[in-house]
Amino acid sequence: MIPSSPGGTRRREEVAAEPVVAEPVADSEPDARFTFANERTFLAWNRTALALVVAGLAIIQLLPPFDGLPWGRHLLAVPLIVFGAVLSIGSFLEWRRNQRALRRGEPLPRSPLPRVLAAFIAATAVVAALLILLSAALG
Amino acid sequence: MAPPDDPPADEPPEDMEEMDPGLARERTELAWTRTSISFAALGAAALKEAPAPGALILAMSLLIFVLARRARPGRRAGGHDRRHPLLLLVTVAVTGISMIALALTLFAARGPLRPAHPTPPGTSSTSPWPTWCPNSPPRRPPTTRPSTASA
Repeated sequence: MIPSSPGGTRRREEVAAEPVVAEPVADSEPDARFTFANERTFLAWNRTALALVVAGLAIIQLLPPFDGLPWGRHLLAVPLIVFGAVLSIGSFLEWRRNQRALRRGEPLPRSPLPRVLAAFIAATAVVAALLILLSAALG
Repeated sequence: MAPPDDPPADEPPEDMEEMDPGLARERTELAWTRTSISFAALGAAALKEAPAPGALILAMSLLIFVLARRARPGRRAGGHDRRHPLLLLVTVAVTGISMIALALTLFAARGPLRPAHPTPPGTSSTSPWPTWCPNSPPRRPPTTRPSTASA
């Protein structure tokens, strides 16, 4: 195990090479670079959440209704808006968890957000394609 | 593996006052600016159709921009504790905007581009939109002007 530096900061190479810390260490101020990177990641997730909300609003406000499927736009828009809120809250919890791990010198926990977002966008695309096909068949 | 008390020569110094940590501070300030611009863009877009929520979102973008500039950590490590309420504010703002958008979607479903009449002239029975152009209002018949032919 590589001990932490006297200031409590650990270099990136040390964290990558040593993913497991056997004994807990006391809270200390982490390297400012990691703290800034954690904050930027949080902001990027929140911009993604805003984009999802805007996409949901645009579907409702700008898209013409699907022929024969009057609930089609809501089926696309409501999950996008709700997932935007979930993503924002999840990114805050993720930031707090990462910050705690940085303070304790522990390895960063794995984030489920990228996998969940990718699955959600893929599912939304599939639903949109099905709605278009159904609308064409019914219209 | 090098011992921890003997860092390589190309490593930055440990003292945060003596180094610029990879322009991380500037990159983070730019990220805050992008975020406030995202809020402002959403607020400006909503201002036309929903003035009150649009103005609220615009004010929120200004608030986030100003608070992010005021609460930015200095060169000393340790100024990051002030960021926690600011990040919580961003989370609450995005969640609130989502809830407003959800309420508008569910309870005020008629969009601005949808026609006021459910079946305007030139519309099929299954779709409320004219067949010749989905997003346009129904056409009016051409008005006939009185002839002004001179003698």
